[in-house]
Amino acid sequence: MSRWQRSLAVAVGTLMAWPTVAHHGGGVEWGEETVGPITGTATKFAFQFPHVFFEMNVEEDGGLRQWTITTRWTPTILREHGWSRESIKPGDEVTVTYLPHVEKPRVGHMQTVEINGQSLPLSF
Amino acid sequence: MRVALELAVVLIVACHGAHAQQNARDLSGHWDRSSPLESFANTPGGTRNNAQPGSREAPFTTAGRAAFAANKPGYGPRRAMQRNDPMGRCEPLGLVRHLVAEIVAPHATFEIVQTPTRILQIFEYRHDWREIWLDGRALPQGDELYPKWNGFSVGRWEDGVLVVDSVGFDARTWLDKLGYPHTEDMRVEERYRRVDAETLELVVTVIDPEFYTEPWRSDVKRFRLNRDKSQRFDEQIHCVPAEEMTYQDLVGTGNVID
Repeated sequence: MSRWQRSLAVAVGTLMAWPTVAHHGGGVEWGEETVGPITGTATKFAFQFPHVFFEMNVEEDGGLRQWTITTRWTPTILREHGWSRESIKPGDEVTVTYLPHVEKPRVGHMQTVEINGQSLPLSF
Repeated sequence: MRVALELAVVLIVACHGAHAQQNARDLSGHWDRSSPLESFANTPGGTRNNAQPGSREAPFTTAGRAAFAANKPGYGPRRAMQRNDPMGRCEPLGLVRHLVAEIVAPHATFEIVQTPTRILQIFEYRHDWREIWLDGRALPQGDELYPKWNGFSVGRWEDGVLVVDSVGFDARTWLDKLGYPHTEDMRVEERYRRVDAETLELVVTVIDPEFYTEPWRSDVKRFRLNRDKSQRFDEQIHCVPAEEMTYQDLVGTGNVID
């Protein structure tokens, strides 16, 4: 991904973050600034209600640390936009930008995502 | 030729009018909320994070204000990390919260299945439903009345408006995601009007003197007919504790079952 593509992704992510109102909170649990990207290896993809999330291992300080990235989408919404429960598989390389959790380290709210170098559709 | 064309136009208009007339008392179909999400008019915060212009405080009684203070929502001016929203505990949402249709699209929707004597209203989110009897029966009283999550409902037609009266509510539910409370003695009036073939309007009025000093009327909610959805398999969106609690624990919002 080129620098301008990353900038665009962050900009889009920031716009998407504005109405970050899922049905389980008014966004109070998430910071306001999009950060990242970070890249890791997927270990789990929970394509389930109330909100789809995934886990991945990220190299930090010479070791692997588990990160959890949530989305504000339900499986229904993601299916309508081309996702499936196979969209992220264990072993996939995942790159995300995210809003950080205000209290929990290594928990983020997904803004943009690439799986093995390919963007998954989020233009909605 | 011109006469034939004019006749055809007249027939089309007449048929359309008859169709519209026929539909006025038929609310069947899948209805998606199309109006902005507000719960009750002129309440602080609406369903957004900040107070709305022209907002005023709910007409609380002292007891109503205390009950409101005890509810800790994740939305509106009082939003907090540690909350006790029944939604986050997989508890039933209750009738009024279903009607507010606060869930994000495409989940802000319900289906109406109508028979001559009864309407079934199916709420996609939580896979819940309620019945509205149209056979002229009275609402239960005395020992026949007890708290239910969606209450007891009877309906009648007033011109082109379906007026639904409901009683008998479980007080553990909230009216909306902002945490407005109600008692078991709440009465609810719904007024449904099919404006045209594609549009349904709904106004909800809450009458609960123990908590509110005056009847509390919602904004005019508009719903758009979703014909495509009627051709698809239904969504089965249940609240599964194993999934919900996992998420609540993940984001640390305190909505865990004690």
